[in-house]
This record gives sequence, structure tokens and C-alpha cells, in this order.
Amino acid sequence: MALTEQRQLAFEFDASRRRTYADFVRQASRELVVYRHAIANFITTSLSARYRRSVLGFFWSLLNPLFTLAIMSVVFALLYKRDIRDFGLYLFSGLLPWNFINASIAMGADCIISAERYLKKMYVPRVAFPVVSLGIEFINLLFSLLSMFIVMLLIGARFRLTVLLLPAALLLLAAFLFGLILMVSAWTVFFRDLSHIIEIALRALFYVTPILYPLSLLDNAAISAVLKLNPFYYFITLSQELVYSGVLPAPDLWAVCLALSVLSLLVGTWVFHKLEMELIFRL
Amino acid sequence: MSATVELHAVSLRFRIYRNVSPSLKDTVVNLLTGKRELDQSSDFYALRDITLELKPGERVGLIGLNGAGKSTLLKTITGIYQPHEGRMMVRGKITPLMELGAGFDPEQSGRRNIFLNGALLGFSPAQMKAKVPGIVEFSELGEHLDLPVKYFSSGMHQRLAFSIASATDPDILLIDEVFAAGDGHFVEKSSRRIDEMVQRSTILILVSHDMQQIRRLSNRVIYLEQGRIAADGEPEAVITAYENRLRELNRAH
Repeated sequence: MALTEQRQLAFEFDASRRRTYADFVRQASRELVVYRHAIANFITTSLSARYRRSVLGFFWSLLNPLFTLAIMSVVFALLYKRDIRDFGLYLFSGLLPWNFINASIAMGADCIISAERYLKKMYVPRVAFPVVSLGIEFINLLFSLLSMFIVMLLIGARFRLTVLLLPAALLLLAAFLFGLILMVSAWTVFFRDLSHIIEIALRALFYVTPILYPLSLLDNAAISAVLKLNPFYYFITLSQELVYSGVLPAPDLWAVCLALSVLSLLVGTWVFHKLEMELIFRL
Repeated sequence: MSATVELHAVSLRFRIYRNVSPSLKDTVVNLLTGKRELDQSSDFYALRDITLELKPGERVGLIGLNGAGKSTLLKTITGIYQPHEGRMMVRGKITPLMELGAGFDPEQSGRRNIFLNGALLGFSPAQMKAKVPGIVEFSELGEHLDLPVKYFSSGMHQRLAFSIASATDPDILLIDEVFAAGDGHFVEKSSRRIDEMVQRSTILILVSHDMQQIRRLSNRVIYLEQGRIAADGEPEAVITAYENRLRELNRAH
């Protein structure tokens, strides 16, 4: 089976020919280009709806994470007897990427199910919806980063030059998440309770990732070894080193993140390729 | 490139699951206890061995009882369902108009949905901007377009959907019962618009239970029964065959 030319102008389908993984990847990338306006529309509509619902509109998107972080900084700085400004920056550097991880997986898990309205009325490539979920949360992340930098300026925190590498780290994280979203978005169609399980798993992972507590709290080798089984640990550490510590992350750390992203993309696209055709019959 | 729709021996199976999406919890429990009832499913053919070829200028009326496969056939031609058997080839820009609210976001205004719907049909915001005045005028919805679509009546829904669909200048227009909710004025106006579109060698496939409408708009009628083509040809002959079948059924029950 193969799609020829632009999907919206012509297509061919032959049930006796099996679609290969390469066919799927080629078709999906082409369709994402053809449907770019629809993807952009879904993203902007969702973002503007989210911000319109609040009185202060767009500003809430900046203020909300700031207040949360301010409260947490005060609480944990007192708890650990650390300087609020210093600990606040540490929190920021781990919590913002974590919020991105959490929100995009939660949204991605439901994206095919909530797109039923469109998928059953007209042809829309299924792969567009994982992209939309990731896009929405990525833009949200950029907003919260913006507010983080504003706060850093206000409290006179030191800007580390390494922050310039943050975009590269976030793109790696986005690629890693895209693979995960592809997997969970297809699986939740088959097992509707999966999104609850994912939610609980993410909450547990949050506490085993050094975000709320400093790394130095863990001088137990056994515990650190267990923590390193968590793939998110590497991405969060990367961000913390770039934004907070100001040290150039070791090449090993970059390599682990890159390997995780590639692996996740490969598995994610493969799972989606296997299940995609069946999705419409399960909605 | 002229529009064509070709289907060769196309069959589509629906699998009826006891439980379409069992929970992971139930599945695990069943695996452990050895119960398999959740997996139970039975297949039925929604389309069976459909072969047809449509050429530019053909306006096909699709008739048949509920569950005969009319909507499924439209959705297969649109690409929503992939057939399990057979081959198909579709050339031309397709605009589907399925039931109510073809791909609308109910929370968004009518105006925003024009852009969303257009984007789903492959148009950029700039291209849609040029089409908006025409869509607004044809739909006669005026200031209602600023309301979220969820407050639209089904007639208003249909006005908007048809206005967008016809403004996108499709090569292949698929219509599924959308005129059911329309008032006489709009149905008349839409029929004239369809006539114009067919003049420009558009292929039209119309699903309807209103035989008057089928007579008025089609130059070929296909009668589906249990997923198979029972008759295909001259509108009057096929409609008569269908109506005879209806009479038979009415006598039997």
C-alpha cells in the first residue's frame, strides 16, 4: 500500500501490498508537510483557548509557574537551609523541563482519542496529533523559560554562558518525548485506562528525579545507581548543569541523551506504524 | 489531471468487539485467570467486493437501507478507512461532508472553524482569508459566525459546513445526508451550487434517503445492500428496484 503524491490530490491503496516501516516513515513525513497548516491551526487554537480562559490572559502563562516556583523555592530553601535565590534557580532548571515532560506525555496519551471528531469525519493523518500535543507543550515551555529568564534578571542571578546550549538540550528532550508520545497515543486507544497509569507513573518518576532535592543529598551509591535507570534523569541533569551549575556537561551525558532520543524515536515510530491502521476501528 | 475514483474488489471488515477497548487492568486480570472473553470479537463485512469507476461529471446517488454500507463507502473513498481487501485509486481534491460538523471544534467560533476546516482540507490561512467573504455570504450566518459552533443549530452547522466545502472548489465532493437538517431555502440554494460544481466536472457522491433529492441531483444511482452493490445505473431503474425492495420489506413486517 502506498500513497502517491500529495495526499490531498491523489492516493492509491492496495490491500494486498504490505506497508513497510520505510513506507510509513516516508508517508508520515510527507503528510506532516502537507498538513502543516492544520497542525499550526490546532496548536494556536489550543494555546489561545488556554490563555483566553483567564482574566490576565497570556500573563498567567508567565505568572503561574513563577508563583509555583516562588513558593517551592521558599519552602525547600528553608527546609534545606539554602540560599533562596540559589535554590530557586536550581529548582527552575529542573522543574521547567519536567513540566514539559509531564504535560506533553499526559496530553499525548489522549491525543488520538480526543481527535476522534476529526479522524472520523475526514482524512487527517493520525501522526499529526502527537505532533500537535508536543508542539503545544513545547511552546508552553518556551513561555515558562522566558519568565524564568525575567526572574533571573530581577533577582540578579548569574547568567551562565552554558545556557546558550539549552536549546540543543531541549530539542533532544523533545525528540525523546515525541517517540514516547507516539507509543502512548496509540496504546491508549487499545487500553483506555493507560492514561491513568501513566499519570501515576509520572508522579512517581518526579520524586525519583533530583528536581526538588539537590543531587548532593544523595551520596549513597546504591540509590544513585537506581536513579540513573530513569531516562528522564539524564535530560533533567543536562538542563540543571547548563542553567544552574554553569558547567559544560560531559560528552557522556550528551551521548546518553542522544542515544535515548534516537532509540525512543525508532521504537515510537515502529509502534505507531504497527498500530496506526487499526486505530480508526477502535475509536 | 481529471478526477477519478476507482475501486476494484474492495472489501472492508468491521470487527465487533465485546469490548472495543478493554482496560489494561481487565486484560491483565484475564491473562492471569485464563479468561478470554474480553478478546471475543466477530467480523462482519461492511463493504464486500465493491468495484466501481467514477468519471468527471458523474453525480452518484448512493441509496440503501440503514447499515447497507453507504457512509462506510464514502469514508473509504475519503481515506478514513483503509480497505482490507482490494485496490483503490482516487485522483482529485476530495472534500467530504459527513453528517454534522465536518471537523469542527465546538468550542471555537464559526469564523475560526472556517480556518480550521480549510486547513484540514489543505488550505493555508492566506488562501482561506480570500475565501471567507464568499463563505460568510453563502452561509447567511452573519454575526452568528462569532458564536462558538457548539451553540449552532444543526441547520446552521450544515450551512457552514456546506459553504466551506463548496468554497474549497473540490474535484470530488462527498455528501452524507447533510441536507436533512436544512431549510427549504438553503437546500435549494445548495442544490444550485452543486449543479454549478458538477458543471466544472466535479464528481459528486451523495448519500440520501430522500428519493426526490436523489432524482434531482444524480445522473447515476448505486443501490447498496449489506455491503454489496445490488444495482448500479440509470437513476429511475435503480430507484424503482430499491423501492420495490422497500415495499417487499414493509409487507413482510
